[in-house]
Amino acid sequence: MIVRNVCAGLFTLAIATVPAQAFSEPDRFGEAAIDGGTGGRYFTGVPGDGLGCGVCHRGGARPDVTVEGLPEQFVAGRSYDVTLRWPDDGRRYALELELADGDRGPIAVTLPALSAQPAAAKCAMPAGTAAATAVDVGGRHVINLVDCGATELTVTFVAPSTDELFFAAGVVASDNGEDVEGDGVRELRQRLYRDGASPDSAACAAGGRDLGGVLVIAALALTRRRRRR
Amino acid sequence: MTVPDADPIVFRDTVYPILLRDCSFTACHGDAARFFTVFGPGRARFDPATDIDAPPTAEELAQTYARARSMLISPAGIKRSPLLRKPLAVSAGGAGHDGTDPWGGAIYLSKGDPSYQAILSWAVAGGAQ
Repeated sequence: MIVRNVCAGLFTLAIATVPAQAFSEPDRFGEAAIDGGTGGRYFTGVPGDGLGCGVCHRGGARPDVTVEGLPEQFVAGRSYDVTLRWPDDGRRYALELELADGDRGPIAVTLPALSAQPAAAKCAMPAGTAAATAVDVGGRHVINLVDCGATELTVTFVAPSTDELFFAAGVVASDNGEDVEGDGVRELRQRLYRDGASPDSAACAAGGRDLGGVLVIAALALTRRRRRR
Repeated sequence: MTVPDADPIVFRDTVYPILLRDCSFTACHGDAARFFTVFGPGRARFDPATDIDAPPTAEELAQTYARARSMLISPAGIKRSPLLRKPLAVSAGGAGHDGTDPWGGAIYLSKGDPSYQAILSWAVAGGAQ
């Protein structure tokens, strides 16, 4: 289903779950798979590394996550603040977030200074510490939020000059168990178009595939500590 | 048809880490219910009692090798076998695969992908096809 103009303002994203493994420490993502890491996969769901956390985490209720600030159509060079919020429902939330331009290239994503972040964006334990970090690796810019009690995240990006961009984030709500079972997952994927660029022309520029504004809701996540059996 | 005599050492050192990275998710080939399974560190373990971070066990390597090798069987030759065609994008000659991501991306977008090349080299070396 093609859904256009769905991301203006605040909207609540529905759900879709899938299964997976939790890698809590951000460093684990850079480790080789043979050593138990992900071998460079971040499970953000962004094109080029499109798998989300739902490939492992599964079984729990999909979390309600709201996304505010994604433009209906973006203006090249303009800065956008995007805020994600999720409930404080006793589960442990973690997420990975990434954006890509119309050529599937990385878009720099930044975080506010810790001092400028509201309490809800910081860890509850240890209180006031940073919940999210920007990971720049292999030419990618990934935002990693660990499951320390934060209930919101704000990121900033500058829109590219390409006709489209991709927003992707995966949220895992852990059941505090020791494995990937029982975790709720929501994968947020949105293709956005530049102001004045039609989905058709963007699709041509991207090679002919037209997912035009498709809102794909699925899942992903990472927990602060790896869930172990 | 015979099962290709693919090198187990090359598999262990080169191919297994790739399969572990790209295939072994619990919703995918880390699911014991699947025929083609890949178990190992950081993912599902063949023996659930194995510590998740422990190095791959001999059992896991043997199991994954046996299943991967059997996936090289094809009446059309190794290059047309499931192991080499399913993860490859249809546009690159692949066979299609449920493992495509929601954007439509296959595991390997082209035959030039280094991981795909590594699997291919191992496969054809063992099958002389």
